[in-house]
Amino acid sequence: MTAPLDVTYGRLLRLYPADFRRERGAEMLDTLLEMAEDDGRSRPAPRETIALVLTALRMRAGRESPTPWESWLTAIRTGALMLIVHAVAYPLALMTNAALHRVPAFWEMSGPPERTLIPLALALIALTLALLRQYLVAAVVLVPAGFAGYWHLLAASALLAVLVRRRPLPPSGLLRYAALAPLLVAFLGEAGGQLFPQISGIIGFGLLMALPVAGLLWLAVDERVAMALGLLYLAGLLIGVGQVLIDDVYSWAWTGLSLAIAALPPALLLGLATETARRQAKL
Amino acid sequence: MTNPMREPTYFILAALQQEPLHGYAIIKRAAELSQGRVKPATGTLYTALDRLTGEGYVRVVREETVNGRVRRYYALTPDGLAALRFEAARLAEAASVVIPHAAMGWA
Repeated sequence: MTAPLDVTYGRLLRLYPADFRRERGAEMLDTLLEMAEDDGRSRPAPRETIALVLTALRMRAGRESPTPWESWLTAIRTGALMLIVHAVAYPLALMTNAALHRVPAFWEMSGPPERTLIPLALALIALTLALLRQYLVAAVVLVPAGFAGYWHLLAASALLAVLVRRRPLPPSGLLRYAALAPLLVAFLGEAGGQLFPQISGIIGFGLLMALPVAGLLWLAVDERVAMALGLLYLAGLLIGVGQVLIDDVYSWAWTGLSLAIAALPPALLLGLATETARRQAKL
Repeated sequence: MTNPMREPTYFILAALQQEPLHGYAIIKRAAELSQGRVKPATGTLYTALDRLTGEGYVRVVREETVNGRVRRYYALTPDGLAALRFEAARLAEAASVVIPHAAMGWA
């Protein structure tokens, strides 16, 4: 049995934040029902449903029509946090795995523990400072960890330095949790690798590619996530280029192809997000 | 007002030129004025109205209750009318670059 139209629309309107619903809910319901009555419909039109869901998600995402520059500042902050979380996520996932399966922890297998633990501690301190909007101190704290070979932390330091002069407000809504994405990918990759060791590489690559795809889809809601992910992947690309320049190259053709493929996610994410921010900034 | 407007915003403001309208009436009027090209979905309309209210281009002029539900009527403010006319002039200027050539049948 199909629910009456006002009940169906009422359920869709529950997706909106409570304060918006209090202010606008009854008015929107009136408009939706009037339109349905005029069209002779007893069900919501698909276009209307998609628009209602997308608008609700935009509100939940905390997107409030910022200027492109404000979008960029927030995205740089999120991108820097993502880079720090990325640097911490993989060792954390390995530590958890070591504890669960009672195998030697990774630092016991890879030289003196301080080489790993000190940069990780610095990263966690910088993460806390960045969350407290102390961007300059956070950027300085990350420099030694960066030069110890944690290049993602050096990239995070550079991004945090951009925020020193004009500090963005911490984002509201779903964007607050975007920086946790690398943690999720690391833990899912580690768990997947344990469950299916034969295809752990494929699982890891799939998860790595799932992030930019999610960022591109989320462009319909909030372009700042795509910008932040673009910065994360751009840092990865630059680190890759640096390694190519330092290391002996086995095959230039293969290296060039690998770098071209690695350049695709940041190019798409940054290009499309910039265009979306420009379009959204129009009245 | 110097930034170009998006088409839906232009037609939402244009819909309010003659008289205050409520949500669904704005959607219908915008669709008529744009010859069906712009028919804002309800979610989009209310986001736009919130933004236009914040910019001072639109304001609520009266409320009534129909079937137990609130119906708000929106009107253009003087700033909204000025912004709409500015955008219309910008579009007319852009059109003037093309229309004389088209009238002469040039390719």
